[in-house]
Amino acid sequence: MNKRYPIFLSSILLFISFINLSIGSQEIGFKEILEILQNKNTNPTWGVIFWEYRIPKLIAAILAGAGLACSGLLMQTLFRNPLAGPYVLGISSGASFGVALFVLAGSSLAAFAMYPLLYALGVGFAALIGSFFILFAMYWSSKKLHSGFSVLILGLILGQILGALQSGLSFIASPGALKEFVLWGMGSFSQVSVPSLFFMVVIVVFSLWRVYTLHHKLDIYLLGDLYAKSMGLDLRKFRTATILATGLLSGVITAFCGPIAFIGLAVPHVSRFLIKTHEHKQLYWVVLLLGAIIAVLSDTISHAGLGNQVIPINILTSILGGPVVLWVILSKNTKRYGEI
Amino acid sequence: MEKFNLHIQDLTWGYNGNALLNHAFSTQIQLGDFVALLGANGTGKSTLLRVIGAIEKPLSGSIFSSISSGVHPSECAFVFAQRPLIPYLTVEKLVYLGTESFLKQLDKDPREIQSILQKMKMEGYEKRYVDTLSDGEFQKVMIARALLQKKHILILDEPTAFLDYPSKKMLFELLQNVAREEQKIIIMSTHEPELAYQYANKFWEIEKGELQERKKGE
Repeated sequence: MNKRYPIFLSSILLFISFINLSIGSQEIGFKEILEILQNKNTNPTWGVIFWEYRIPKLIAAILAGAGLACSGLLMQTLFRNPLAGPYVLGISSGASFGVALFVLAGSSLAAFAMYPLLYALGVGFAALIGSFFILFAMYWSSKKLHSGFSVLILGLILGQILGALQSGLSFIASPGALKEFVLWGMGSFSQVSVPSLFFMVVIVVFSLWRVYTLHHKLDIYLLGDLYAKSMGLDLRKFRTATILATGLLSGVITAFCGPIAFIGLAVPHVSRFLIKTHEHKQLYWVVLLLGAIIAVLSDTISHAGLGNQVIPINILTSILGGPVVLWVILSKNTKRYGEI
Repeated sequence: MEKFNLHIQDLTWGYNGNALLNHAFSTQIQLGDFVALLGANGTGKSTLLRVIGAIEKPLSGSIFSSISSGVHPSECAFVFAQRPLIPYLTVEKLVYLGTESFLKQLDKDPREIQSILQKMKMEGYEKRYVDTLSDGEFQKVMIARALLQKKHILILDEPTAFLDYPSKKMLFELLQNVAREEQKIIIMSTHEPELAYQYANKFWEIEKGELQERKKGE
């Protein structure tokens, strides 16, 4: 197995993480970061910024990037469709709608204002329910529709319908709740509160571990249902496990970081192109690392851009990821999957 | 150890409770037998193969081997007509995929893969990407893959459907050798009666809801 890529990508991730920790409204130099890490710094404000703002934001970005990329890989295998991904198939829209309902309609309850952890859990569950709902609907219909493009069109339409319902909800919402929801929709890693981050770490790490244990089954599944069955793969159990991991990952990440575009779709393609294999065991680490790199890089650029202004993450991931999707559709590579 | 053989007893198969034959089917197959399953489309050849391979359940009756009470999918290796399309997969890795050592996550033995590809006259293809192969070459790789699984039973569902005549002939010849020399049970559905009569030693012919079993020379 080629171990060079994971090592190479890990060092890039480490490097970008340092830049990410350093950049922001208050610039903290590398030397100072090392001092803070060794508990030797002399500027208490920097310590607070570092531990309470930058570190949680970095962890959120790494988890979100790795998790979204992994859920994209799972969807592309599960649907046997190169254009599958949490954003394209409407999973993110499902999660958004769940959160919209919760934030715009439910958050006025006093209990949520008093217990932030309860509020975080509420947002998380709302997003999970929304994403699972769409995921099951998409999976069920993908078995009826034979062309990969029909599935994608269905995902787009579902996304549009949910978007319209969301607009309807925001029309009747209070200005405060509306602003919160609009900001959430632009995607950000800095809105993740510490209790939410804890919730996110547990679910993302658990799901990623679960996916790793599935890697050889994912390989077998690519050969098609008949071959998979003939090798003793229990298709129903396998699909349930895959859908569960995919929904947990994209649901919980969307809940706390907003609907982040294109990472889930684009990263698996770039990874396959880099290491020239379909094997999930090898792809897994490259996909996770590359996803994290793209997320941290986007976050870094978004904070480095316009003085005190922060560019919404989705603008950056779309600029980075959109061309990859075009490349997938237009290139000969699509033929490698057969007709989509 | 007792010699492996396969018993089929009072077997019926079909969809939604409707049997595809007018009668139940019983037979016995020994190691080294090369069975050709012949019949028009829609007569239930594929269903029968899947039932024998324990991918699908029979309507009634049973299949068992001399070493176990029921047949499990893991005792059979399959080759189907469909061609899965997977990006960035080499021949070597496809052959290895799904074998015992793959499932146990052991390293693959390149020499073993090489010698099996040689038997299929596919030497030198190890590093080729699967999606650059012709349909015929692909099927040969899938048969190499089935052989590498080292099962007693090889089940092939119209593996020659997309091959040209020389490849078809070569494949039948090869399967005959595999059955005899490697002592396997081969059950294969096909639309090539002439080749089947030349190379197989048992024939199951499905016609008008009847399955007739004949042996070579009968």
